[in-house]
Amino acid sequence: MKWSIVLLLPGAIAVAAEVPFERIRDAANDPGSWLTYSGTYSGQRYSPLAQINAANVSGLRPVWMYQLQKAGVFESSPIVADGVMYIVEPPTTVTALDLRSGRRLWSWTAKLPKDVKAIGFPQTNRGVAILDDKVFVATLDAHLVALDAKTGVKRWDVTVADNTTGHAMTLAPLAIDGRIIVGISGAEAGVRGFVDAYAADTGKQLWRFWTVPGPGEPGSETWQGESWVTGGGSTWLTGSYDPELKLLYWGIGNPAPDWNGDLRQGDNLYTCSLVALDPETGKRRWHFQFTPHDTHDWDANQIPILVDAAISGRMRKLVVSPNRNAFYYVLDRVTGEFLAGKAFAKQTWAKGLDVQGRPMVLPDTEPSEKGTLVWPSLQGAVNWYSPSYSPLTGWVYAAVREMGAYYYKTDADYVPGTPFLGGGEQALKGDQAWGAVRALEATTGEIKWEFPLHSPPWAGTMTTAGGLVFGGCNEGNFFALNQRSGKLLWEFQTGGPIRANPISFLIDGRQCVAIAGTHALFVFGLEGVPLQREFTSLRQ
Amino acid sequence: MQGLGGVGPSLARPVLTQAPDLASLLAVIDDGIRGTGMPSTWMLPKKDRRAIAGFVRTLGVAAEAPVAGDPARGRELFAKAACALCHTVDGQGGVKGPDLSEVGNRRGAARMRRMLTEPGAEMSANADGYAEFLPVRLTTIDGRVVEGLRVNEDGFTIQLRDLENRIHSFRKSEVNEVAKGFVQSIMPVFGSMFSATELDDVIAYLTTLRGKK
Ligand code: HEC
Repeated sequence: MKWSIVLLLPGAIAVAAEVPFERIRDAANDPGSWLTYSGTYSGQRYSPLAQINAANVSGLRPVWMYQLQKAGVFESSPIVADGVMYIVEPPTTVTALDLRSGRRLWSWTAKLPKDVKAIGFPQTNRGVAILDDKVFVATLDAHLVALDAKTGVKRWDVTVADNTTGHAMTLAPLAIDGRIIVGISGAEAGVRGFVDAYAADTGKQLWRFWTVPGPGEPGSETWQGESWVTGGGSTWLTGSYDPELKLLYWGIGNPAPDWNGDLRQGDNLYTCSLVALDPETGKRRWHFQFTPHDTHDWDANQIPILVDAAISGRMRKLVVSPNRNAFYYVLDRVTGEFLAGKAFAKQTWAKGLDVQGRPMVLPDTEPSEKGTLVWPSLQGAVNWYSPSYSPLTGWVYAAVREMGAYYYKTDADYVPGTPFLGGGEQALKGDQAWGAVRALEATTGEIKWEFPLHSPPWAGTMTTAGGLVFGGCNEGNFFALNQRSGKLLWEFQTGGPIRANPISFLIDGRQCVAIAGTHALFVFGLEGVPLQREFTSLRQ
Repeated sequence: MQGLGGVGPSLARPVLTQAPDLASLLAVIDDGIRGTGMPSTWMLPKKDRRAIAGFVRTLGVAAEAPVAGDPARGRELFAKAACALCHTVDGQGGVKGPDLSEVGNRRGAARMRRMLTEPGAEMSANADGYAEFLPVRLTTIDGRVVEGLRVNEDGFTIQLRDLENRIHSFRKSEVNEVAKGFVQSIMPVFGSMFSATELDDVIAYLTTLRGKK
């Protein structure tokens, strides 16, 4: 018998990924893959695949499942390239799966300190980035690590920030031309937030944008005294990117301490804002603040959606976002100009937005010692999970949380590496809260339809060219709705809460949809997708 | 504040089942108790949490406030009033209401009294805040009416348990209307059925229900 291990059996062996920047930039032309967190740089979470559609989606069946090696909070959004799916198992284990069989190809686990700090959020991870021959993961203890995409071998590992002071990372990095962009978590521990860029080949730091300006920098006048030092403004979700305008769009989180703003009087820029950054230098081009001087933990980290659409008869390059504060915003993404805004969920804290998009805040909505009931709750009208957009309808699909909370205020002492909060909340839960998937007209925020959910959701949506919107809920149902009517077309009970975003891709030319469930990743396809391939026996 | 409670049990007792020592008491205050309504308070500053723990410990030093009433008579009344139609005690009884075998660990006297005099004002909810014994009247598309207690629900399906404990499962697409009795506990009002002393007796009995040692 002659061995020829160099011989690749076509289709029988997963080929390893080579994903140059151009391929991610043009991901819309490569719908069989899912090459970046939101599918494309635009943050639309829209799959151009149309094999699964309103007429046949009722035939969607499980293709395979992958069960976590260890229980944890599973929020990973997979990356799919060249026959391999990359997920992150909580807290920080990168796993490569063979796309056809669901079998594990390799795993790499970050060596986290025993007393790793994740202050104010679960020990989770939202996925990897891929670029060229490497995958990139941001670890819970705030390292950025590059792994060989074929084998999981570590290529480099840099410390982004000190975990003992509460800096941590849970976001999927963003890979652009030669550089990896990441943000940081830790506002609940009073960190000073930033966005960082690292060279993809070496891990060398290229720039840092501080989300809280230091003395003398523009915006520093919006911070009282030394409060900027522990000002928060974390950047804990992935940004979007416009390769033509060469601008990064990154959402910025709440100021610290969260619920007691007494010692940080002022607007507290650039917390609860969206910033547009030059990817070469990290310089800020513009900013827009959604919630000035926030005292309700309404981070603005939601994935920015880049769309081009006509407003008053003129084509505009827009960035739109349903915000955690319950308002939907339409901005010009070249200039940051506010164009439109409207509440998309119950809110009791603002009379509305003024012409600049600034909220007209109502009295008696501040956290207090005895508790102040306000909608939305601190988990927001939306949270970290992704919205989506469909070019077929021109609508944004948001999973909305209808939940109020009593907000409390206490003293806040800054002790490095401990919670720096100044209060808390008691949310109205159970039968007093609910949720919905809502379709919003992208240029106005007008609600087109809603599909009610039993409780405020923690799962994102994905649209497809098949006219569908996929979503999930706490009760475990993974479902597909008609994009235009909101009608339920298909639903599958996964057996536990879903806290993740759906993606779509091809296995052997057949469209599939994947979602992370409580302790397992599920892949669905239409009947007829080869569940088990015929195997050529290798034992000859 | 005397630590005698609203929804939860009296804290003024020598031994707290969930927190026999300071370390476990701090853990309970920090993290809550999984699967119960006891919330986590990690949002409070550590020094406040320690202060709470200290205060709770002083409550136990005073002997447990005695509940007026005669538990032995209360036990007889419990049998006479057929509470066991709906409630289980030590393995015996019905399941239309919560198991009362350990209700003395879980609830204080004030809450028990409210339950007997105005049931529905404060219905039992699970850790996620959903009513646990919610009466539901459901009408199917073809006009069938099914009544029962809600067992579980999601956006797409609902499961009911009828008075014979049969499970009925529906997809919401098969259903015309789901009427929920949020302030209509099936627990009868006993306030007028019992005299004031009898009410005290029943509560005294319930307070002794602390599970089998
Ligand atoms: C027809 C059924 C029914 C009968 C009979 C009944 N109960 Fe109840 N009981 C319930 C239900 C249901 C609940 C839960 C409250 C709710 O959510 O509606 C409850 C709750 C309670 C509670 C509170 C338990 C907790 O964990 O909070 C107590 C105490 C109680 N009942 C005592 C009694 C006593 C004593 C009697 C007899 C005198 C009695 N019940 C008779 C149905 C019943």
